[in-house]
Amino acid sequence: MLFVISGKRVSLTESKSPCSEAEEHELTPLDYRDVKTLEEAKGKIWYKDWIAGGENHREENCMVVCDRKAKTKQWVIEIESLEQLLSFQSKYGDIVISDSSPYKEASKEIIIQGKKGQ
Amino acid sequence: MGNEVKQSVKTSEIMDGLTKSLKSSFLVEWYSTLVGFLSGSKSFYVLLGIGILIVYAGTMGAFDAFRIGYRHAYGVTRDIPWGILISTYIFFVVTSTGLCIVSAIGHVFGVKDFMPVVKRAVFLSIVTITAGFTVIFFEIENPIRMALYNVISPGLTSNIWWMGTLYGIYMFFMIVEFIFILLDNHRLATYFGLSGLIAGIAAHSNLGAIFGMLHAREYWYGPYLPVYFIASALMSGCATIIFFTWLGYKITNEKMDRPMLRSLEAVSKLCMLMIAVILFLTVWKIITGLVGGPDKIEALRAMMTGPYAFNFWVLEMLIGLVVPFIIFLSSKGKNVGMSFLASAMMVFAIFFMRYDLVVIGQIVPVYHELGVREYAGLAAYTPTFHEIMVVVAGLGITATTFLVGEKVFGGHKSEIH
Repeated sequence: MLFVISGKRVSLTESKSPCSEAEEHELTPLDYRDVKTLEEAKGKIWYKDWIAGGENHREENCMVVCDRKAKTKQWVIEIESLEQLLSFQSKYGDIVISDSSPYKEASKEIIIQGKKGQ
Repeated sequence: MGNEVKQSVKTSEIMDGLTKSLKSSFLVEWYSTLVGFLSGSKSFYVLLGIGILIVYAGTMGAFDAFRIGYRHAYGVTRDIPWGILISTYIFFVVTSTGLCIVSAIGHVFGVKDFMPVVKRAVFLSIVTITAGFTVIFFEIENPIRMALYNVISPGLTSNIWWMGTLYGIYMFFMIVEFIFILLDNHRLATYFGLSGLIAGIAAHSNLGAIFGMLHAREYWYGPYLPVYFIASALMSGCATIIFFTWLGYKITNEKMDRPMLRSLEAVSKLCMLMIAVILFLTVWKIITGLVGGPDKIEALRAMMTGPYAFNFWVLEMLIGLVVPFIIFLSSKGKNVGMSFLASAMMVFAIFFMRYDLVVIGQIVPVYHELGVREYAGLAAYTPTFHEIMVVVAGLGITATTFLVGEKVFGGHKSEIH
C-alpha cells in the first residue's frame, strides 16, 4: 500500500526526502465537492473550472469528485505488511498514520514525529 | 375557574410553542439562508453585487465627507481627535499582521500543520491592509501630501512616520510573497514572507508605541501596548483565518480534507492560547491601572462601570474572549463549525475592542487632573454618518475582495502540504 510520507516540518526551499526509503512520485489529487449529483453541480459557480481542471468526473459517497489533471509531487513509501510498518517505526521513532489529502494513488499519510532518540 | 386554568395553560403552551418555533425557525432559516447563499450557487454573484454596492455607497459617503470638509463631516473634536476611523484602521492592520504571522508559522518556519491555510492567509493579509489604508486615506485631511512628504522629508523621530513607512514596506513584501506563491516559487516566497513578517512585527509594535509613547494619555502610556498589539494581532489573525476558511469552503463546496482539518485545529488551539494571553494582559492592565494616576483610574472607571461598560463587558470580554474561549475549549478545536462560530464572534467583537482602546484613551480630558472646571467631565464622541460610511467601505472592500479571491484563486488551494 502506498503512503504519503512527511515530517512535522517541511522545507520550502528544497524538496527534502523525509526518510531514506521515500521516493518522490507524481500523484493525482482528487477534487471532492460537497454536492450530491453531477446535475446539482452544474448550477455552481465552480462547475466550469472543476470540469476543465479534472477528468473522470463522477458521483461518490454522496459527493461529486474528479481526478485533477494537474499532478502533484509527493514523497511516498510502499508498505506491504504490518511487520514492515513496525520495523519502519522502530527505525524512525514515533509515527502518526493519518488520512492524507485525497489522491487517486494514496489516501493515507505517515507523519514521522521526530528522529528516534530525540 | 376551570376554564381560566385551562385557558392559562393553553396560553402558556402556545407561548412556549411560539417561542420555540420562532427560535428554531428563525435560527434554522437564517443559517440555511446563509449557507444557501454561500453554497457556490449563482447567489454568489448576488452577494458580490451587494458587496460592490456597499463599497460604492461607502466610497461615495467618504468622498462627500472630503467635499464638505472633514471637520464638518466627522465627529472628532480637539478633545477626541482620533475616532472610529483610526480604530477601524487599527482593526484592519492588526488583522493583517496577525494573518501574516499565522502564514509565517507555516510558510517561513515550515510547521506543516499551518501550511494549508498559508495561501489564503497571505491573500487576506493584503486585502485587510488595503482596507486599512483605504480607511486611513479618508481620515487624513491631505493623504497625497502625506505620501509625498513621507519620502522627501522623513521624520525619523516620529512613530507615525515609521508606521506609514514600515506598513508600506510590509505591504510590498506580502504582495511579492503572494505572487511567488502563485508562481509556485516557494524559495523566494519564503524569503519575502520572512521579510514581510519582520516588517509587519516592526510596523505593528511601532503602532502600539504610537499610543504607548504618549505621556499625556495615561491610559495608553507605557511599554504595555507594543506587546499587547502583537499578541492581539496573532489572536485576530487566528480568528480571521478560521472565519474566512470556513466561508471559503462553503463557497466552493469543497470537502475539507484531513490536512485542512488538522490545520484549523492547530489554528484554533493557537487562538485559544492567545485569548488566554489577552485575558491575562487585560486583567493586569486593569489591576495596575487602578493604582495608577487619577486620569487612568477615571478612564478605567468609564470602561468598567461608565458609558463603555457594555462595550467592555458584553462585547469585548463576553463575546470577544470568554465565550469563544469556552467554545474552543469544549470542542478542542476539532469541530470546524464551532470554531467558525467562535471566530465569527471574535471578529465582530475585536472591532469594538479596537474602538474602545482608541476612544477610551482620550475621553479623560488632559486638563482633568488640574481641576479645570470646563474639563471636569468626560469628553464625548459619537461617530457620524460619514465616518460610518468610510468604515462600511473598508468592510465592503474586505468582503468583496475575499469573494473575488475565492473565485479567481480557486479556493486558494495549496499543494505545499
